[in-house]
Amino acid sequence: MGRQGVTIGVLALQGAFAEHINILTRLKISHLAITPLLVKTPDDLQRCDALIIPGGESTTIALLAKLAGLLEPLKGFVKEKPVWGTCAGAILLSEDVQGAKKGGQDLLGGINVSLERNGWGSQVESFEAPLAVHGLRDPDTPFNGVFIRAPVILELKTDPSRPPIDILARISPPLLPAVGSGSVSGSENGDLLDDDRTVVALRQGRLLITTFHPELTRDDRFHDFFVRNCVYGG
Amino acid sequence: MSPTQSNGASPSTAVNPASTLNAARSQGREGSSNLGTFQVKSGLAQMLKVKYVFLVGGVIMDVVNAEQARIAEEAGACAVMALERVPADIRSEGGVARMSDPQLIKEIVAAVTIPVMAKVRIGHFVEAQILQAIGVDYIDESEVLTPADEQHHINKHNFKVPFVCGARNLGEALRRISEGAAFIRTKGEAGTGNVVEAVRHERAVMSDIRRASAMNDEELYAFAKEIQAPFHLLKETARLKRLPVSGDPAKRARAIVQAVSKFQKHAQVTHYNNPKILAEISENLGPAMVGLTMSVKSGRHEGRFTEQPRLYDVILCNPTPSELLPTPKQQSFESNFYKNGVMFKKKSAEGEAKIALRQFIEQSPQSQYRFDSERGADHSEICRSLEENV
Repeated sequence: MGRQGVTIGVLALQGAFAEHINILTRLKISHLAITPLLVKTPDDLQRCDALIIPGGESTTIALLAKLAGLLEPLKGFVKEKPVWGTCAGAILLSEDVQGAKKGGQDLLGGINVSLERNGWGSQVESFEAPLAVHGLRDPDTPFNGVFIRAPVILELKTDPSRPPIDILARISPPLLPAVGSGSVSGSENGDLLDDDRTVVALRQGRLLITTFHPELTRDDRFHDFFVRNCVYGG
Repeated sequence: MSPTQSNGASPSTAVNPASTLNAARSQGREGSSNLGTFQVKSGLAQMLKVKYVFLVGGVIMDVVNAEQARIAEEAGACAVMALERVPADIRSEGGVARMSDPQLIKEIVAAVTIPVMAKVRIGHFVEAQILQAIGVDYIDESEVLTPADEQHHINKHNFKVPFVCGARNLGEALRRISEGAAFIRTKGEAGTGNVVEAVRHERAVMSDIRRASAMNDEELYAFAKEIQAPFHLLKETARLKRLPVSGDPAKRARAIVQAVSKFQKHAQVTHYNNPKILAEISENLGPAMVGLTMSVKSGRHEGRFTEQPRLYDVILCNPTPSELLPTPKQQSFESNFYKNGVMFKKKSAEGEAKIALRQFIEQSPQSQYRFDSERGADHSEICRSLEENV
């Protein structure tokens, strides 16, 4: 099998796009040549085979996308090509969001989940937690999830016309912060093992969302996973 | 296999949503139990300080009430800075500028979904504790407010909330980082709308970083001493070729510079390298932002808080004509001083320094003295070594 080339765009309107580019630049997958690309205009987007929407402020990213004439092209892109959203990107890829700014906000949609913005509280309540993630390279090593003003997945919805939702990682209830709507009362931990609110990474077809920030760690396994599984369907 | 055609859905489960969800959930349960084991095994701390911030490419807008905060959010700000008065007013009205009213900050926090930032006076750790307690997302230890402590900044390691601090040069930036600042901004002339100071500071920081990155360890030791920066942070800066804080300081500084310069031009930050878009968004913006003019005296900006003024320091002052009585040795430069009865600002450094030294010694002839200067300063400052002697 020859060396294939793939252009992975990172939406560079606002937020942690530089960190994603750094990891993509470092990422080595034997038979693939990965070309990272900063996406700021519809022309940039057209050149991409896949897209990463970084962490940042979802309201800001959505507004800047609208101003750049990217909103409609992005909605089209999400329907056809692999897209991964981290944190704010996850909010944009969800179908429904609670705690949106007054008057609502623009979403791209694509994943049948309902999210709550800042569901685990403000910056001060941000936290890190080790995660067991299905399907990553070297699965016995936990992935360090960095949650900063992170959204909480409130509910996974079923839609027969859409690919099934594949849960990749849950946060262990004892690790959950005791604030926000993601908070849980300690005695009920047992019931929470299949509570949707503990889901922090999931995949639906070619779309992937993580409510934490893999780009802020030195661990490139999630990027590796995205390229191998969502982009190349491996 | 093309990347656009691949679909991760496995065909067997694609049709039945209920079984899919159940399958997904049982899978998730497995994951959780693994997690539990791991958690017990490792016994890791559950809550860690997370001091990463997401401001790159965004604009932080100054707001004084919840209504303005909502407007800023609608306009696409990535954060708002809650202030009692905007910097232009603080600068023009004078008086002691403090942290904003906590009630006002709470209203702003409740009104918007984007992060809320607030300023504290330099060194005022109690204000910072209050802000942290009411749930502010970032704290700016700011020279725009009246400093509360002339010598010490807040020990920012003691806080969970990330701090931003201003810096005019690399030494100052690294001192702030060693105190726990999570990110560094330039020190502009707040409220003036004039970005020249901010540009100067960013240029100075980046230039020093480039110099440091070419130095060996011996040179770095000397450079650390020269700029009064902790060696380990300087070495890390030299290795990274950027400040050892989160993200890209240059991009962030650019964002903040743009933020203060114009309210609605946030798109400039994203498209700073695309002149075509910049031309479009710069059209019909209306009158320029209200600003104050920097007052300049003898090449120094008045009213600017100098970073570490020592108590009892004497910073060179402009001599009055009566103090410039001619002595034989000063004849040579004196003629330059007066022209048509007007004192010229451009003076021989030697003469000015001598006069200042004389004045200084006359104030307290018994003191010990030393000379001290910032890197690149146009002249030294004379200090009393021991304040008890004063």
